[in-house]
Amino acid sequence: MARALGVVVILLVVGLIVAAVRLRGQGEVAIGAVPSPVADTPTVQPADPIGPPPSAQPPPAVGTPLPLVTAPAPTPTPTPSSGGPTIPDHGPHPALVDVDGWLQSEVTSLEALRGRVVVVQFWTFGCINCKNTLPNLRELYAAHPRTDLEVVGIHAPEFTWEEDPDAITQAAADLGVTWPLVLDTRRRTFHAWQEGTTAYWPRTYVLDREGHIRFDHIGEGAYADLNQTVAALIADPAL
Amino acid sequence: METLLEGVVAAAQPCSLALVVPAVGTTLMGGRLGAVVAAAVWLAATLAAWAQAALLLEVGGGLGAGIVLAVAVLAGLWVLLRDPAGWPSGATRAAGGALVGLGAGLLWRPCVGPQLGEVLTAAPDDPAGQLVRFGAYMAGLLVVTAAVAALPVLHPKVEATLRSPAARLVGAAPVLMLAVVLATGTYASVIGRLVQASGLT
Repeated sequence: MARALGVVVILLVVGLIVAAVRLRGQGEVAIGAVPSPVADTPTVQPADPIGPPPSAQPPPAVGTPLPLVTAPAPTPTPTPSSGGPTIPDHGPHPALVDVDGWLQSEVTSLEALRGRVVVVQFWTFGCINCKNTLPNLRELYAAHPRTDLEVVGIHAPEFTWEEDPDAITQAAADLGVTWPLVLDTRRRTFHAWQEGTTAYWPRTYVLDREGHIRFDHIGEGAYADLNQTVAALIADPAL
Repeated sequence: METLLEGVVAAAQPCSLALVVPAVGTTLMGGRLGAVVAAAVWLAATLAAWAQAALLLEVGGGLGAGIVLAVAVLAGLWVLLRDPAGWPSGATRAAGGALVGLGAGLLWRPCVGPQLGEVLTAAPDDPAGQLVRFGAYMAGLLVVTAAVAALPVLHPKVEATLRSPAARLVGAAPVLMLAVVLATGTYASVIGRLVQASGLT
C-alpha cells in the first residue's frame, strides 16, 4: 500500500513538472525573440552630487553589514480627476542611495527628469523574471517620445558575478536595454525603496512629473496596468 | 493551479537554489519519515517568507540575525542526524525540518513571476487573503521534496541506501552550507558561484 502511494506521489510530481515546463515553453514563445540593437559603448558617469541627501546616516565601512534603510510608506491617496482614471499617489519617491554611477544616460539624477513620466525598474541581468518584463518595457519606451517618458533601470545585482559594469553593459546591449541605467552595486537603493528585509527583482514603479510614485508592482505581469498608468499620466498632466 | 505551476518552474531557477537544495537534503535525512520532514520544511519556510513579504516580520540583514538563524539551522541538522531514543521520532524530525525551513525561508530571495508578483504586491495590504496562494507557490517550489520523501517506501533497498552514512552526508551537506551562508552573509558570492557552476545562469 505504502509502495503504491509512493509511486503515485512520484508520478504526480513528474506530471506537475512536465505541466510546468510546458507552461514555461508557452511563455517563452509568447515573449518572442529579443532584438540586439547597435549601441555605442556607454561610459559610467558619476552620480549627480546635487539632489536630496541619500541618507542621514554615514555609509558603513567596507565589510560591515548594511543597515536596513526603510522607505517611507505614505498611505496612498487617490488623485481626483475630471472623469478620468483614478491613480493612487504613494508620495515622493525615496532617494537614490550610494549608487555607483549611471550608464547610457545624459542625466545622472532622477530629479533631472522632473516634468516627464518616469518608469523606474529594479532589475539584475541574470534574473529571468526581469528579462521577461523587457519586451513590454521596450515597446512602452518606443511608444512615447523622450520628452514625455523616460525609463530608468536600477541594476541591483543579486550575485557577485552580476556586479561587473562591463558585464552589465554587454547584457544591456544583448537584451535591448537602451534606456539609462543606474548602478546600485551595494543594493542600498534597492533596499531603500522596498520596505522589509526581503526585496524583490524585478520591481517596477511609475513616477509622475512631480516625482511621486503612482504605480508599484513586484515581479512580472501587470503590463496593461503599467502601460495604462503611463499613458494616462502622459495624457493628463493634472492627474 | 497557475501559482503552483509557477512555483514548480521557479524551482529550477538560480534564485531558488538556497531554498530548494537544503529542503531536498533535509527530506533525504528524514528517511522513512521524509514526508513529515518535507511538510515541516514547507510550512516553516512558507510562514517565514510570508511574514517577511507581508511586512509582519523584519529580521534584518545583519550578521547577528544571520548567526542566530545559522544556529537554528544547525540545531535542526543535529536533531535530524541524532534522532535520540525515547523522543517521538516524527515530532523531532519535523522540528528539525522546521528549523531548516525557517532559515532557508528567511534567506530565500525569490525571482518573481507574474503569479507570485500579484501575491507579493498585494501581501502588505492583504496578508491573510494572499496566504493560500503563497502556500501553493511554495508547494510548487518544493514539490521535488515530495518525490524525495516517497523514495524510501519504494523498496527496502532504497531505504537502506538512504540510511547509509554517505546518503546522510549528501543530505547534510547543503544544510551545512545554508548555515555557513547565513552565518557569514556570503549569499551573493557562495550561492552565486554555485549558480555559475550549475549552468543555471
